[in-house]
Amino acid sequence: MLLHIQPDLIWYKSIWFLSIGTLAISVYIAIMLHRRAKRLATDQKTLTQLVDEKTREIRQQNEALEKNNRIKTRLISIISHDIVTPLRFLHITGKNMLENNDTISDVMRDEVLAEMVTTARELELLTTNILNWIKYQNENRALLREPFDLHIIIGQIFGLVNGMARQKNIVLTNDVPQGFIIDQHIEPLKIVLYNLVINALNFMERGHITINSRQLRNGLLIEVKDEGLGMTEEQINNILSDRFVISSANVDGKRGNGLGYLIIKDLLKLLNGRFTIKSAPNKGTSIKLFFPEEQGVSKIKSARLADTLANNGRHMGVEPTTFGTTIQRSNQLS
Amino acid sequence: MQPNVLIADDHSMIRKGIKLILQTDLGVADVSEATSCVELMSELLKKDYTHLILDIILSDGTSLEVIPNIKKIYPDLHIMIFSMLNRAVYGEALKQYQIHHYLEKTSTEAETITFLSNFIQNDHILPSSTNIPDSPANPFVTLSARELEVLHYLLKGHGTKEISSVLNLRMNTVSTLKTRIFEKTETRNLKDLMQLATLYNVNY
Repeated sequence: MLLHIQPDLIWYKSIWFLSIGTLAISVYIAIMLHRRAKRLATDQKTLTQLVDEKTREIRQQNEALEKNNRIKTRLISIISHDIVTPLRFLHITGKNMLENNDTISDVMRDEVLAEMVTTARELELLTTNILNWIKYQNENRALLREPFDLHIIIGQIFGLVNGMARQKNIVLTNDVPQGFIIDQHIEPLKIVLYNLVINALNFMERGHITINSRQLRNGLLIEVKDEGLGMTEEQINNILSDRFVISSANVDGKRGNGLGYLIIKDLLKLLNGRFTIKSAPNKGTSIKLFFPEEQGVSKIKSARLADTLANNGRHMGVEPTTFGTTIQRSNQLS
Repeated sequence: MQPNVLIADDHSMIRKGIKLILQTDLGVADVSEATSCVELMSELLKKDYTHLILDIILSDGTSLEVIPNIKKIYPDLHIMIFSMLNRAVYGEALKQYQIHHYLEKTSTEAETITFLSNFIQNDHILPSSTNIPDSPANPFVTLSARELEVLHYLLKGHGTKEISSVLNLRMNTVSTLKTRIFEKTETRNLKDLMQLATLYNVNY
């Protein structure tokens, strides 16, 4: 194409200047538009992320609420079936004994009295547990950690159940070294250990219950070991599953409503700990609690350690000298 | 003939309480106990019982699962249900097994003694004072015994596969029963069903 340059035109009216000018303006507009689009895209991305995050949060809250609801429904059943009904019969039977004192045979009196004592104790335990569960549902944020001697705490817990153990000829052994100082929330940890010891006692006729502890490289390990009835794989899975922790099935006189483990699991979350169960029917049970040293900083490390812990357990399980066909499961609490 | 009574209940306090009432108020000396379905069946084999006081939920399942067998093997055994579960629901379903004695555990002491005494003396007519009219508003009343069996395991959180193996039923049958339970109770999911069951005292 030929361009005719006209010398009489003013410079800024030259076709060259006009084209360059137009081009410059177009490029400028294009760049601005592009930038705007980019900024909008980034904004949108941030927004989407925010929404996703919120959605996830809400979903988690929903799940937690649903779980709580489920537990509440179960608690209603437990209260009506395992608390109200036995209380009724405790009352009716007590009254009956009072009124017919002279006609009841000595054998029958002893039998009924023993039953009343056991029932009253079970009711107390169950109510305490429900109370604890409700308590730590609400006030789990403001709790402070404090250093304390684990040996002394275990001694206190054993003191509470000594009578029950002696009755059954069960030996309680505190293998935690004296002056073993740990930094934890003292009350929740006590409840966890108490529940584990009670479980062991309830499912045991004679033998030893031992608690020992070790400082590992990455955290603290506490083990509660018994020589009781042990558990089947199904029972262990039930305990570890988050779905239905509470089943009211109970062996005669030994309550198994699963509430103890529900509380143990909830409190371990609070304590930033996890646990593994190693057990088989008639082979006893070993529960290992693990508390990683530095939460947050070495989360990956501690997860790996928990894996190692689980693997170790599995190893021990295969050894014929220890537990025979032992079932090993680990529970990762986040 | 002297009555020979067997109590099957998973709560030992309740067994002892009833045993004591039978001895002190009704003069029945021969009372035995069982806690589970398995124990109940083996106990029935051991002795000739005349009366059975039976809870619905036992430690290893529901007695709904063994009642048909018990009825078949021991047609002369008198059975009385003593449960905390809703009488309107379970009592209705159990009539198909010719079980007409149903006492709720929430009954008063006097009612319990009268009821037990009637049962032991083989009175067929129930005292009307404990005869609560079936409330038509209860959505669980229409459930059959089979459906109640499935309901029990459903409420315990078992899946179709587990239920079918526990009750020895085909998966399809369990699914159908499940659908019917949801239809009859007009619930859409397990959560609703559980809450409804708790409300109507059908949940254990």
